[in-house]
Amino acid sequence: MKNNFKLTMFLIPIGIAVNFIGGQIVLLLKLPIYLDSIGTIVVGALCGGIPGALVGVITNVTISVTNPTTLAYIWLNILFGLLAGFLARRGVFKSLWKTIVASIGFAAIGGGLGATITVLMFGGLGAGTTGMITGMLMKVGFSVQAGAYISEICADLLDKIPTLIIVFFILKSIPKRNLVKLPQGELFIDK
Amino acid sequence: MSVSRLHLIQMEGELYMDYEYVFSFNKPQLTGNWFLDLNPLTKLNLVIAIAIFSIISKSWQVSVCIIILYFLIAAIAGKFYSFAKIYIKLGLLIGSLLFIMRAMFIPGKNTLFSFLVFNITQEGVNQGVWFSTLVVSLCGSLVLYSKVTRAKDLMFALEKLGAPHSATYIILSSLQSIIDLGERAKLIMDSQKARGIETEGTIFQRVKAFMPIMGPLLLGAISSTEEKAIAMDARAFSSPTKNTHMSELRQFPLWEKMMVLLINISLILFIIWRLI
Repeated sequence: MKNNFKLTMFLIPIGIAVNFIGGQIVLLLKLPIYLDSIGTIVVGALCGGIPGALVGVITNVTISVTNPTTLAYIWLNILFGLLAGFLARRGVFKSLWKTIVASIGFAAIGGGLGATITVLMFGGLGAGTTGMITGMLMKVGFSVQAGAYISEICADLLDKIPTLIIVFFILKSIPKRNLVKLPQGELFIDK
Repeated sequence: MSVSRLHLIQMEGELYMDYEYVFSFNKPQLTGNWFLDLNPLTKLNLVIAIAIFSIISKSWQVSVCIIILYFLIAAIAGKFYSFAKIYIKLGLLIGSLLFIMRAMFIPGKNTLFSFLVFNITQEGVNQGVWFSTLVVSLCGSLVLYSKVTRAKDLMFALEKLGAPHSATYIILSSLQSIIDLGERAKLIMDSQKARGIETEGTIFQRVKAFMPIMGPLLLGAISSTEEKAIAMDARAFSSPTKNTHMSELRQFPLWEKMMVLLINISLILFIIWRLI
């Protein structure tokens, strides 16, 4: 029991760093997605919902030092971590098509809840390209709320599907000697 | 201190040990700037008080004054250039984006002027100015706090309040891992480029380049985590007794306590005045 907790504690900083690095690599490769939740979902699947949520929280707080508007979206990261832990227990991450279906669920949370937060806190117009798209949709005739929801859900779908594919391949290739020491690792060992 | 002088004299012809340097670790390490040496919790209190101040007062003039106050505090702490570099870039980016969004798209009665599909209204401009200055002033508090506080000082103050040392370790280690993993990612990207992975070109090529970079990075990080866990265990990281510390903060002087009390009381008075 104590073994599992110790390795979890050392895996959490790695998850946080991976979230950062994912975001930076896509900036370097100039891809139009965020990819900043890989660490959250991997740690959530391997160690349980609460460590995953913790990774999400600390990532969010650290990013908000240089971009404080992300602090409002902290609930998204918490939910991703918890959901990843829950889905791993149901065996979703063992087959590729189930993972892709689950990614739609993640994107729905990310887009839906994210848009709700944007509408509540920023009046529907966030600071970013999604804000621009929302504005354009408003001109076409949609209301602020509908525009925010549509733009954020689309952006999140575009982002979460690659994230979850990457998570699936990483979970498949972790060596067994690391998996046995993690709380939910035994779910990923093919017996 | 006289003990160290004695040692220096005795060791004239032999190995020279800098006992002054060694014994300086017995005292808290101060930087000499009165603002930077404040307890990190004091600085946290100050920054949160200023942030609440700007949220409660609903005028944009107050927010602008607070932004100027941030620059003043950064200058007092001696961190003006590093703070200003980040804050100005951030403030202009976020402030202008939020302002333009609101000015252009919020419907209102008095239209100032309109071109193409964009209608700039007086209400939109008002809303824009108020909201963008509010958000920029809140941003400033976070950026200022991260510049004037060292992470290890804040973690030490939290441990003194009773936080478990595993929690403070997680935060310190993640800040360090971000830097480490970043350098390792550059290394891996270069080595994969040398093996022929294309990182420029069409979007499809760039997408194919992502996995060969991310995969070795994450798997290498997970294996090295296990070695780190064993190393920390060998240094009694998980023993149930309390740690001793090598670098500590100084004792809370009286004038600092007075300052914290003054700031909190004035904040509460201001809130009460505003609600009446």
